[in-house]
This record gives sequence, structure tokens and C-alpha cells, in this order.
Amino acid sequence: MKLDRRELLRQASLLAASAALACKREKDRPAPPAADPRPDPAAPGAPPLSPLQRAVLDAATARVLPSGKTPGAREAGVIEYVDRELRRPAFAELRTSILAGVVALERNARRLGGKAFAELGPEEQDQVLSQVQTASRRGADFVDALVVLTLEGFLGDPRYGGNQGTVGWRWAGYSPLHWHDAGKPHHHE
Amino acid sequence: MSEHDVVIVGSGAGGGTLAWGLASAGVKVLVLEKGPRYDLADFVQHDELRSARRDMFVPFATEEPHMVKVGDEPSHRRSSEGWISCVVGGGTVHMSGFFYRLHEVDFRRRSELGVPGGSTVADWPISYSDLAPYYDQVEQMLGVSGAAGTNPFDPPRSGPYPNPPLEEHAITPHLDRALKKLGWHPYPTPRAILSRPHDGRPACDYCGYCGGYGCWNGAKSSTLFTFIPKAIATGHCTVVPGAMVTEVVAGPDGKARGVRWRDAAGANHEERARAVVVSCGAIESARLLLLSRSARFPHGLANGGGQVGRNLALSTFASVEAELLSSGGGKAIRGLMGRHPWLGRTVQDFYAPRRGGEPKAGTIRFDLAHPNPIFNAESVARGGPQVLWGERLKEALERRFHQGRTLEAEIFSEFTPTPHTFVELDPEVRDRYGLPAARITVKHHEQDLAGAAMLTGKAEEAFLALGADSVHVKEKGGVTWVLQHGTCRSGKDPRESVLDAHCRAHEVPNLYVVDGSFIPTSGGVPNTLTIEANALRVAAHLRDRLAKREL
Repeated sequence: MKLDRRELLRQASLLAASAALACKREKDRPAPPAADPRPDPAAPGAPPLSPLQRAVLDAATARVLPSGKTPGAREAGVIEYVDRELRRPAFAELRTSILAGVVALERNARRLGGKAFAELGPEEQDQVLSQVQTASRRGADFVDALVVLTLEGFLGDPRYGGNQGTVGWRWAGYSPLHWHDAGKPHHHE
Repeated sequence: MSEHDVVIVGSGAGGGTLAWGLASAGVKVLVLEKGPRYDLADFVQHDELRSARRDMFVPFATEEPHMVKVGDEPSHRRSSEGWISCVVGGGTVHMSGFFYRLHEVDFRRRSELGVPGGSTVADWPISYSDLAPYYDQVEQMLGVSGAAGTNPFDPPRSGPYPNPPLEEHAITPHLDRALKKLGWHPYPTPRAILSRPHDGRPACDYCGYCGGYGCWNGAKSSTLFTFIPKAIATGHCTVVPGAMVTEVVAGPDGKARGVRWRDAAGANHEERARAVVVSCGAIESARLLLLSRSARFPHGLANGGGQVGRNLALSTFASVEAELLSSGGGKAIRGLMGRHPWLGRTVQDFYAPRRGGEPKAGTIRFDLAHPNPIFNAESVARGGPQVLWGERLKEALERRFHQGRTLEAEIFSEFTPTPHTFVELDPEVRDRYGLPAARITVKHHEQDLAGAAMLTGKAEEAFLALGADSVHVKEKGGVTWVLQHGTCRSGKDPRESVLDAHCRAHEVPNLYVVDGSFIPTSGGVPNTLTIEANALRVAAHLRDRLAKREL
């Protein structure tokens, strides 16, 4: 028996109310407001990406999920997600590996095409990415991490900076509330 | 004089259930939970990053590392593997709620099947029939959904499930037909998820976001929304979130005096009680006891026998994915693309060896792959020897999301305890509280890999029989980290066990452990239901001892 949304919310609020009542009886402290799960821009940690790092990662993620008939990394603003997430103190090691990968891409680009990675055409960028992926274990690990970051930035909640306008969710057919709702317009903070 | 009779460390399947088992009889209980208490409102927005890929439930490895070495890895590495869930309700908040019972043979694996060479297999000190009334009680109280009499391999049951099985996807009758043609006995997977309103909670609305997420309407029967509020409602239970227990303190008489804990502001407290119950998950419970050193217990509390942290068993995990494309194998299936998460089928035809020499294996569960979008995309990207990217990735994602449905066979198989799988304290690495981190070493017994390989082959056979367009072994012999057992195992012989048949430490008469630590052999199912049933059994024993003033 499927309940309609209004009934669900009504029942959910009743359950929450009774839990709150029990909470008062047990002399417990009220639960603190849920911590913001996004990386804190004010916290001490890594600075934003440098313009070069950002340009390389913007181009690289756009090769992981190219734009075309369907949206890609650029439409979703994946680079914004990557820039913010790499500032997390918990991701210091990941940041180091990603930035080492940026150096590898840049170096290979100059060797292959005599230009910065971000200035190469898409086919040449693909060649460089392939080279880095197949050259070494570290290279393969870097491309794997790059793909994971791109997918997170494409399909994660927009409040983290990517999936802008829920373009990723709409393409994939997901709604964060109920799988049944996929495809319907979704208003987001 | 302490305010509380019993202090419980941890509020998941063991601690949360035990809290009610005691408080409902008037025992004054304090539950100290390291993590926060979430509420329904926290679960409304299914934020996959927050729930499943960041630190909503499990700490970052930079903050609270585990040092982990699996198989032939060269050395221990910093990881967040081995954490279950550090929140009020523990792992039951983000579980998928597969609520199977162990089988009779699991309680006497040693006597019935022998000791595989190089293993430390031992019998349980109790039998299935000792636990059966408590399995009944948990199922009834939580309103577990299932269909008695449909699994010929089920252990004996005294009656029906309180609720019928969850609704099934349109693919399920086709799967049933295919599996029955193979001579197997598929049956509805029993779930700790309400198929009907029960006890003030609404039924599941099939939102699709289950495993890895808190349930937004309370239909998933975590201890957070069942045993814990019931315990609090008795007036005899206090739950304190943000309370990190750093030591179980032993008095000069060799009994547990209480616990030391740190609050969110960093202030230290000591709580005294007549009895202490530890329930942090098998890895972290072992760690807590190893950290609790004194003159009388120089190797950790209750560890004079050197068994704390030993005999760790996880669950052997394997996974097979299959595609049913709407233009291919799924063409004849009406409703193929329906957005409903559960095929809801399990097969236990291969649970126990049918002939000598066959490995002890376990359970195959058939469902659609979890709908979590990043998880699916990552699965697609990592489907081959090298990670996919570019147009090839986009095409593969398009296929996964729009051209058919992806099914998954998840395998829960025996993990045999050996001297090579254990928990100890790391000599160097500390967590953010300054305490030595758990150092975990894991190695499969070859019989476990044989069991997983056998079940993987069966799952492939099943999908081919169903007419799948592609079948892919995603994992052939891994571990499910959140299913942890054995580190304080129960047994009759104090030389081979840490706890007795009532989960009381042999060496410390008022110390109990009620998470999976007590379980000597893990069997071929996830053991959340078993942990909860056992917690009610231990509660009955503890109530009795408290009433008789033995504690």
C-alpha cells in the first residue's frame, strides 16, 4: 500500500513530534542542528585551485564527461565541485595526488602538442589523458580518482557546487526525494 | 551511589536493543553513544554524498583512522574501513534491513562440519533453540516483513511473520520462473522494513533510497526509531549522544567499576554502574577493551586469555551484476523499467555443504542494483580493467540509466576465523582523541573463497537462465566490513573465548559485550537480527542477576 506524499509527511511529522516529547522526558540535551556537510570555506585548509590547476581540471573533467547532445561536466559546473571538495582537510592526500596528476597532464600536453593542456583540441586532450592513464599505476589511479570526482560533481547534490540546475540528475533520471519522481522538475535551494 | 544500574556503550543493534530489554523492566540504564542523534528531518533529502560518501555515519580516515591490511597487501594503510556507523542507532540506521535468522548448523559448525585446517572454528555455547524465542520477539516487535514456510532451508519457526513481504518489482515473477526451472527455491527476502503501518510507524513508500541512507519516514526499523524511543519512554533510560567512551574502568576487585568518557566539549567524565555493557561493533569493542588497561589487566580488560581481538570474522562478499535491456532480454517483461527497488528474492539452496568437501557457503540475494546515482555511475565506470571515461563512459551510463535495468546478486558467505584475521592496537597511529587506532589484519581462509566462487557461479547461472543481456562478476571474493564478529567470542572454554554463554566476560563478572563480538562463527547471513535477538536474551539474564543482587 503506497501512501501519498502528504500523508507521509503528516505521519513523519507526528513521529518526529513524539520523539521530541520523549526527548524532553529523558532530560536529554536537544540534538544540535545538523552540521553542514559541505566543506567549510572559512576553515583553515587548502586554498582554492590556482588558475592553471583550475583550467587543467576543467578541461580534464570535460573530457571525462564531454558535452554534446546530452549534458556533460561543463553544464553541471563540475569544476566548481572539484575546487570546493579538494579544500576539505580530510582530502589533503587526494588533493596532492590530483594536483600531481595535473602536472602530468600539463607535461604530457606540452610534449605532445607544444601547448598547455587546456589549449589543446579535444582529440589531443583525449590522447594525453590516455597516455597518463596507461603509463603507470599512479597514472591509472589518478584517472580513476578524476573520474570519481567528475561523477560526484555531475550527480551529487547541487549544494556542493556541481550538478548545477540538477542537470545531472535530470539526465540520469533521478530525484533526491523519491525515485518515482525522476524526470519531474525539481526546485532546489 | 550511581544514578544508573547499567551503562551501555553504543546504541546500535546490540546496545539499543539491550537498553529496552533492561529499561522495560525498571533497570536504570545510561546509553553513551559517541556519535550524534539524527532525526527523520535529516533523512528527507537523500544526499548521496553526505550519507554514503562523507562522514555522516562514518568518520574520515584523517580524523579516526583504522589501519587496515587485507590479503596480500604489503602493509597496513590508513582507511575508514571497519567502521560501521557512529550515530544513535548505529548501523541499523543505514542498513538495508535484511533480517535473516542463522541456521541450526551455524551454532555447531565445529561438531557438525569439523575444523577446517588452519582455522579456529568453535561451536557456539548456545543452540538455535536457545535463541529462537528471541528471534520471534524481535520480529514481532519490529514488524518484520516476510513469508514463513516459503524457504525450505529456513530453521524451525514457531509462527508467521507479523507483516507480509514488501511489494516486488515486475521482474520478480520472471526471476522466480527461471530459478525454479533450475530446481532452486527462491523466497521473499525477510526485511526489517514495514510493509504495513505498525506500532505508530508508517509503511515503506518505496522511495528507493534505502541502503546507506537513514529512512525518512521511519518504516525501516532501526533501533533509533524502535527500541531506543521505547526504552526512553519507560522513564528508565537516558541516551547521551556525543559521548566518547575512552576506557572501561576496573576496580581493585577486578570488577568493572564504570566507564570514563569525553563529551563534545572535551571534558572528561566517569560514570559508575553495577554492570557495564560494551556494544561498539566487534572491531571497536575489542579496541575499547584493549585500551582499558590496569595493573590487574595489563593486556586489556578481560584479556588475560589473550583472545580479545582474535577470531575476527567479517562476512565474505561477492557480487554479480546483470543487465536486462528493454530491447533485449527484458523485452518480454512488462513493467521492466518500473521504478521499484526490490526484486525481494533470496536463495539458500547452497547454504550448507551437501556433500563432504563442499565449502560452507551461504545466501544469494537478488534485487535491483541500489538506485543511488553516483554508486551506479561509479560501478559502470569501473566495470572493466581500466576506468572508463569520455564518450564510452557516457554511452555506458546512458545504457545503465535508460536502456534497461541492472540486477544485482549479493552474496553473503561464511568467513572462517583464523589466526590471520584479528584486531590489535596500532603502535603509532592515534585518532583525534589521542587514542591508539585499531589495527586490523584480514585474510580469507581458502574455504571461504571457494564458497564465494561457488555462489558466484550459481548467481551467473541464475542470470543467464533469466535471459540477461550481460552478466558481470563485480566482486568475486571480498568482505562486507560492516558485518563483524568474533573479537570477544562467547564459548564454554575460557581458554578459547572471552565471554560465556550469556555474553559475560569470563574474567570480569559484571562486564558484557552484546554486539557481533560474541559470535564465534558468522554463518552465511547478515547477523543484525541475530545480534538484536541475542541482546534480548542477555537482557533477560542480566535482569535476573540484578534482581537477585548478584551485581
